[in-house]
Amino acid sequence: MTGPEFDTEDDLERRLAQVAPVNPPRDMTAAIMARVTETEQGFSTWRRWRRAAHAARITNFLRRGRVDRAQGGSIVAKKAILAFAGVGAAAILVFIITGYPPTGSGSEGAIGAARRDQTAQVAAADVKVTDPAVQQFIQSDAFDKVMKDPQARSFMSQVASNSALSQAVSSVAQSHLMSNAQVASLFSNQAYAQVMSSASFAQLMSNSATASQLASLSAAASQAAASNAAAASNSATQTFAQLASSQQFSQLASSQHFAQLASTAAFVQLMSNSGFAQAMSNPPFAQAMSNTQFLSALGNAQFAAAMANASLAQAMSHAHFSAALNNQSQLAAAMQAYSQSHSQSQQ
Amino acid sequence: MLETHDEIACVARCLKGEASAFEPLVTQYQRVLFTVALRLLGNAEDARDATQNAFVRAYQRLDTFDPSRRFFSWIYRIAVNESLNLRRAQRPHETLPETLETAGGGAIDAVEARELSERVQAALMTLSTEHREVVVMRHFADLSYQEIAETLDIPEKTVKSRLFSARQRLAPLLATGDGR
Repeated sequence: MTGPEFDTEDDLERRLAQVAPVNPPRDMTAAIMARVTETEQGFSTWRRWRRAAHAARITNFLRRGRVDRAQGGSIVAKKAILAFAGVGAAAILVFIITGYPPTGSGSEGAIGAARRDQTAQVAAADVKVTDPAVQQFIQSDAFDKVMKDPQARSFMSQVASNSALSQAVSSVAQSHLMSNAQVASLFSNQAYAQVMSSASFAQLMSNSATASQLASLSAAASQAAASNAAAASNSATQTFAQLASSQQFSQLASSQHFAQLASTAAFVQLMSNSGFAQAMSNPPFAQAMSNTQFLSALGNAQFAAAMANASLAQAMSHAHFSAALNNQSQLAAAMQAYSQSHSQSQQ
Repeated sequence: MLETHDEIACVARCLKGEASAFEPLVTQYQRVLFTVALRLLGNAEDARDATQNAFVRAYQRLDTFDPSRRFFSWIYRIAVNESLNLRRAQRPHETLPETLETAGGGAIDAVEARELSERVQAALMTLSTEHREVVVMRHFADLSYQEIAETLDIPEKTVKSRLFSARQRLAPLLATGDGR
């Protein structure tokens, strides 16, 4: 560079340095913060969850940073460990290349077994949900509520891992049973939950004859309601009384298991509940009751308890719930990832 | 002045839904980002819009922020992109308006300062975006070569070379007594 160019550069530096700094408009912070607050309020549940998960990662990053700073004195020790690891790696490399020292026969199996155990654990980031129905369902508020409920979460895990239970729940979801207010309220009724989870009911359901009687009883209730719409709408209790005097009911009542069940306080309470009567006269309920998988699932105490859960009832009324259930592997993986991220964000 | 870990802590709080935690970050960087936007756009109104949009966009995309990188580098890139988008979409630039506040000085000084500011701005606008960017960051945002390189994700050598070329073009335009 020549002399005059230096002069020009110095001059340029001076001129630029003389330009006074500019202050942003005074109200800019307030304007930005107003828009930021508005933006925050507009985030969907799914977005909030994703942001909270990233917050957990950032917090972990900060924590690690602090630990690293606190352990600044042990850098030498770290170097020694790295050097030791390097020597070890070199030794293994020499062994692989030269085959020295020779090993005795029989060690191959042990190495094979060890390699089988080397599969990496599934991390939240590894889970890719490709099915749009599953994705839409897990982005819903209903799914969020279910995942925050430990009882429902354990039930959903069981559903995702048990194909029979999954089919039963799927058939319930497909029959639009849960989208019906009467049936949904019945499922969240404590007396119903008690009856459904009782040992007597499980025994009753384990008997195929009584189970089919109950199914046909329910179907009859549905027919009665359809043929006498006025009576059904005016007095559901009347419809149920009509049903109780039917032949199917008397057959069912003669069952030993039913007698045991009928003697329980919860059953008595349930029978006097008008909501139960209304639900019994509901076509989707009858449809579900005639489904063998649903009937067998009713004998499952956890299924019954889960049916009494309001958030699960809401989730099951979701249009994409049944589609999600049909894709069990993705649902299980998504739930696992969700649970991991949720527990991390809570920490 | 926020330290790096304080900035990251603010980001984490924002991500948990605490929008007010974003305010220290706005206070920290609004001046530099506004200056950069102003020098890139040559118009205070547009610079204001670009700066606001940049902060809001940054808030929306906080879940993509990599804490191993500097927050400023990240938000700076967003602000530059916002400025360039706005420039592409809008009319030819105008000179700096009289309402623009400069820091300190009396009435005569203010007039001179504005004249100089306008002259510098006019000269800056003759540069390419790449060259203007490095000049703005070096002289108006007071960033070191290393910081500029990190922010623009280019080698330090490239920063120096761009800056040299930019100065070569600016020098005759801003030489004393022979401005325009």
